[in-house]
Amino acid sequence: MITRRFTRVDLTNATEDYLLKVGEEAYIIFNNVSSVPLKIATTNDTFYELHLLNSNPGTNSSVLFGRVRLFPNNTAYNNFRVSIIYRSSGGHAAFSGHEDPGFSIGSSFFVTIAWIINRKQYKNVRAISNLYGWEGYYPLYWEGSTDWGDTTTEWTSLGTIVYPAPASGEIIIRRLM
Amino acid sequence: MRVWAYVNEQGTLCCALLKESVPANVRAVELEVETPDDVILNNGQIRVKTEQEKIESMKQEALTELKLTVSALLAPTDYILTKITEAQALGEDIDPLLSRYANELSRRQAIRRWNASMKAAINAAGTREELQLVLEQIRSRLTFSSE
Repeated sequence: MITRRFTRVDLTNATEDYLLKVGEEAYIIFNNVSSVPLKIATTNDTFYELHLLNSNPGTNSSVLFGRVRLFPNNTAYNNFRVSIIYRSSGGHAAFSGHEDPGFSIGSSFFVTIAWIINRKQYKNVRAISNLYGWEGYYPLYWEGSTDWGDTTTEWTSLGTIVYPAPASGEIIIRRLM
Repeated sequence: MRVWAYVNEQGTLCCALLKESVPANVRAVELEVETPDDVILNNGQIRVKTEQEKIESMKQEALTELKLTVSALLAPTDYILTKITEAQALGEDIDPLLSRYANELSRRQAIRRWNASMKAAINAAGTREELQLVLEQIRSRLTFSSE
């Protein structure tokens, strides 16, 4: 019999890292926090798909000015290279940087889909987001790709997502490979 | 937030968000910061960014936002520039076009002047609060223009 469903594990209150099997997905709910430890163990040669849906209303609040990042191994390292494109209904902008501290996945409040590759020689996160925290820009399309150029440090814990201000939402992470 | 900063074997500044994420063989410095971006390695010394350094980082982000805003304000009349450029390339008289689109071209010049004044205000801001006020001006311009 062919199964068409992903097996889901709820990691909302996990206290230890859980190693997802291929075809398994984790579900995490977070409420009014600035950092969300995913509590997912990872190994070399793995590939994931991440869905993140914030439940906060859009706002122009100053505290939302800043990027949201995934810090692998629950640690910020200053050796990431990032390229970001913003596209609103009437304009565009781009940003690139090196010596960034983590994988960029969005800005302010957003909904995103991201693909996470953990390979010794190529560690990358690509994210496509819609930002809704910047009033006046709706919808603001955001696309970012971050390389972690470190081929020495092992990526063993998927990491922690950090917001510039407390946020709420849901995360689904599927291990594809 | 509390972080534990250390330099790893490759000389990379690392900032653990959980104490248990610090490798056993390193000595980490415990710091209270607003974000991990606030920790820097300066002349081999781990420290938190000064207020001035935080303002400089915020200015770079603000300039990106200004660029996005100006681009959004100019985009609806970009076609006029294309028409004028094409007419010039074909050796046609562009005066009728300049006259026809005088209001739009004047508005574009006003946007450019506003861009220059906002850029100057960002660069002149001495505190994060001042910078925030400039950002609010930038955001309100886009909101009004789209109404």
